[in-house]
Amino acid sequence: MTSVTTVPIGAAVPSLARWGLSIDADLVFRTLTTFGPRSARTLASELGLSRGRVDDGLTQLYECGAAIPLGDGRAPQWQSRPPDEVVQSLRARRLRAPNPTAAVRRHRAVFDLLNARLSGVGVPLNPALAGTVADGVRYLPSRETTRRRLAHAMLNERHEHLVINNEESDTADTTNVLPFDESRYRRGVTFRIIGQPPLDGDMVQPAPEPERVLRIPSYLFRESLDTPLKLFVCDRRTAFVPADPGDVERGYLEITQPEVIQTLIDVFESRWAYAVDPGPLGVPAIALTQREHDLVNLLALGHTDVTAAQELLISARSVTNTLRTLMDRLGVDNRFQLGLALGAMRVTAPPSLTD
Amino acid sequence: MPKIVLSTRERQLVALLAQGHTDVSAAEILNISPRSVTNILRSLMDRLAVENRFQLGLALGFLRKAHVPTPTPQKEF
Repeated sequence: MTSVTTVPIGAAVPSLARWGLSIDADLVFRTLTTFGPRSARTLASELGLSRGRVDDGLTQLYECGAAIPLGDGRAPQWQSRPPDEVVQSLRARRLRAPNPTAAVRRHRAVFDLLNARLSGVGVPLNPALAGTVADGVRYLPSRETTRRRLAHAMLNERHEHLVINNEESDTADTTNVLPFDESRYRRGVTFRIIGQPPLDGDMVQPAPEPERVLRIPSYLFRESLDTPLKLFVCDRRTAFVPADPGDVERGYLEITQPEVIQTLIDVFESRWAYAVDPGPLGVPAIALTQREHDLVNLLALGHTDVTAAQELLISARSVTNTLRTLMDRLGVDNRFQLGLALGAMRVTAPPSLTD
Repeated sequence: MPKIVLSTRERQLVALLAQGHTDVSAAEILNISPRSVTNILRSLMDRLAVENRFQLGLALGFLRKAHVPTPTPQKEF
């Protein structure tokens, strides 16, 4: 059978990877936008991607509202939303005003996804009674019970502890829930934690995480703006998520249902892959040449392009070109953004801050 | 190191500029005049004791008051 596929010409779609989605998600989105709704299976075979990668991509697209499933069967057709709307909402997501409503919505989206993927399992939100509410799902009605159960699960941990911390407000709160006891860290369990980057507030420096203070080598922390829910996964066997996305005081669900846990791990891994290790820098480091270093230091002192050029015995044009190249490498468009990037990389700072 | 607290307005403005908005497009989104944008930035620059936008960016980046757009290998097409 021969068929000629013509690619519909539409508006250019900017790479969604710019807003933190994976390249697989971006590819899937482009395919849906260009060729119309199709199922995950069709996508996998057309794109030559594994089903897992397609599912991961769809999960990301679903959660940011870029794609929706049509119908509620086990193998739904996926439809993309218009690119300009998607880009707009992704842009808005980068704004850092705390938004509890959005946090609740994202949390619900994950639950919807769990229920869509795992027909029949059913993960209840806001259960009324304590105890077993579904197969492999227990409702822990208070923080106190949760703390005990989590501590118990962590005591038996041998391999891995995953955390998504979506708290946007003050971090003191987390220590109430997490049993931060030094003795628990001596077992060679690998901790992987995704948290929000420090919010603007009165903190000059990000609050040191307890794990960072304890200098636990098997502890890895990454920052992401995309933290859809609070989540703990112990050894891929037990998971804890808040029962009420709007109110952690209402307790947690303790989940041992393997398929649900696998889906939650997928949610974690898809974020982990694109979260940033803040390290001492905060942004991925690039190496500056000697000239770039000299120039940036002069500009940090308040030099203009012209006076910096005189100082370095080069032409003003070379100054412009050097900065242009640097801006391209950092993926920024203007001097303000260039400053932000270099400041976050701790390359240099204005003299007023370093005295 | 000076401790500096950004107001909501300042935070919103800085976030928009960090995304690559111009003064004018940021003003439109925030529903304020471009002149207000200039004034807000001027007062920030005074508080941080810096002279220009590059230094302002450096200071805010250094103090982790804003996030730089994630560098991507390809340009938009």
